[in-house]
Amino acid sequence: MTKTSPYQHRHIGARAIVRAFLAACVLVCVVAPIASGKTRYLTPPGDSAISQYTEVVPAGGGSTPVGQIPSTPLGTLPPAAARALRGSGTARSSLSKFVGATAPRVSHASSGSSTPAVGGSSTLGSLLHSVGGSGGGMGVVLPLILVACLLAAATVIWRRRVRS
Amino acid sequence: MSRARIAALLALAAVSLHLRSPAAAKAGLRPIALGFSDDLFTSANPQVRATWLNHAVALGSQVVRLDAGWPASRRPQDPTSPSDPAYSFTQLDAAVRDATAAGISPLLSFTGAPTWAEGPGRPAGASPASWLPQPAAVGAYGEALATRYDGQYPDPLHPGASLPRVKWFQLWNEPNLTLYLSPQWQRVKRRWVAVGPVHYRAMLNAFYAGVKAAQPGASVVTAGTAPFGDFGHGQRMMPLLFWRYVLAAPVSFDAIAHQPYAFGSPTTHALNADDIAIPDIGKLTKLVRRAERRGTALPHIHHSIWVTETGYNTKPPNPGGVPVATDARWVEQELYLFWKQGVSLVTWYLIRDSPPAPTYGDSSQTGMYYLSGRAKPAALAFRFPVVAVRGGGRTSVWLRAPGSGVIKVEARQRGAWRVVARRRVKPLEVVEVGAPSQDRDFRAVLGKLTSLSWHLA
Repeated sequence: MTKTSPYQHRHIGARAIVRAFLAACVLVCVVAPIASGKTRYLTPPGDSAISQYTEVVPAGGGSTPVGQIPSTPLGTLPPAAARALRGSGTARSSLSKFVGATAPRVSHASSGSSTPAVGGSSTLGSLLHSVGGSGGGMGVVLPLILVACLLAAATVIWRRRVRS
Repeated sequence: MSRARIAALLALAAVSLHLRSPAAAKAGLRPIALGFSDDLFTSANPQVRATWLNHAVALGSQVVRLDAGWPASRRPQDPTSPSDPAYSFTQLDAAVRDATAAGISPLLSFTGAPTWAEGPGRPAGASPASWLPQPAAVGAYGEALATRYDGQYPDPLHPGASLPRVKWFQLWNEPNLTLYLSPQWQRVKRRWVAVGPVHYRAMLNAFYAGVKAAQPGASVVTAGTAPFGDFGHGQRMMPLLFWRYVLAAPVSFDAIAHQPYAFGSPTTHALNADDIAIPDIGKLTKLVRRAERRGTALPHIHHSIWVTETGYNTKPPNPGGVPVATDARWVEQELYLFWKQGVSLVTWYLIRDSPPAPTYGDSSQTGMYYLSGRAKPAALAFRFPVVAVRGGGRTSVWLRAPGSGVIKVEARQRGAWRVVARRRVKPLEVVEVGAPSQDRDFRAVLGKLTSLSWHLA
């Protein structure tokens, strides 16, 4: 009977983690296209009759209705430049809107706005929102999968140690 | 050079200069037919139909778009025969009779398939009446419709008389939305396939064959597409992408339609290349002309471009609408932009506001009249649209005459309106006249009717 080296436990643990990580990657590859393939468009609140005519543009957080783009594109164009663009005709105004629409979203919390963040006003809600975002993609599903993988790997290591 | 030749050249130069001068009026411009799309015209109440047809006539309408529906709750024994007992045309007959008697041409449009005419494999979540309507059934119904309104079909209510003739037939509404035609996309062997437009092409070819079998002289109009779509493979396909798929293979129609609703001013372009807002009709025209050259847009004619719905919700009464004064200006501007882009027919969505049932959000207030029957400023704008445009250092005034007579184009000069051009017009004639470049406010007067004034920014 040979005594198991403590290094062997570490070796098995590392292998389990690698397997779990690979499984997570496979899961992400399978789930991500399904999640991103789902069209996400918001509609003007309480106006279902016109929702079919809402114009959307691609934004940092996924497709976004044009009506919901902030009129001042935070952090993208200096206010003076935005004002100048808006004041110089329709085409320029569209350009200004487009720049705003395609810019990365600035979170309400960090901009100091009193408007509660989308996804809830609780700390957990804010955390989930900042981790998962509010647009397209997998949202909070991805971090949850990764946490589950880590927990599974940790459980495997712990059970092997207990058995030995 | 002989004196005669010099004289001829000078005369030619004088004529050319006259034609190019700002004061010269452009004669014989392309017309634009206007009308409305509203369920009031197919109301079961004859008084309601009569009232709103009268209003439509007063606003210079030449066409009303009537929702014919597909009135066959069970599969007809002979779906091409309008006398099959499975069909029920009583209400449509009344609407067609009244519209024709009022001097307005009906455009018969329908969307939604009865359950028996939907395709196989319908998922529970699909929009009602939208699932892959069977092209053969669509074609047979087109033949039944065109037969019933060929001008010779006996009027069941008036023995010895015939039902009026209808010459325009439109297939479906906004087929780039799953709300009306589903699915738009389907995943086949790990690839996304544009099912909606390909299926719509089959429906349109069948409908065209059916209508023309009964009435070779009738015109088949495509569905009007919704103006905006989504990225990816969702529930709304961008209209230009939709038509690109439809026109990729031979397809028959006489006019192609679009429905450019907008939230901003009529001059605002769509942000996405494959969306079509009011000033983007040219994208659709270009695609159709290319398909004509390639031979996929059939028959070999110059296909017309129609707008079969458009409109702005107004405030009042809709809290989310545009102010009525802005609406009036946008109505004029929209009509001008459509005309300028070669659109030959427009049916405005709603002549009278819908009741806010259950809420304003679920209904439309895009009418020329409030629910009470009182006219909005847009009613005059629609009846007598006058738009001043400036370009290439010239100012011109575009208008559609509400009647015949001598029209006076006036400009405000030092606080008073002064006539800057006169022109004899025929009813509903489109006219464009040169105007002084230094003036900013224009209007037109025909008899006792004065248009809204147009301010050039």
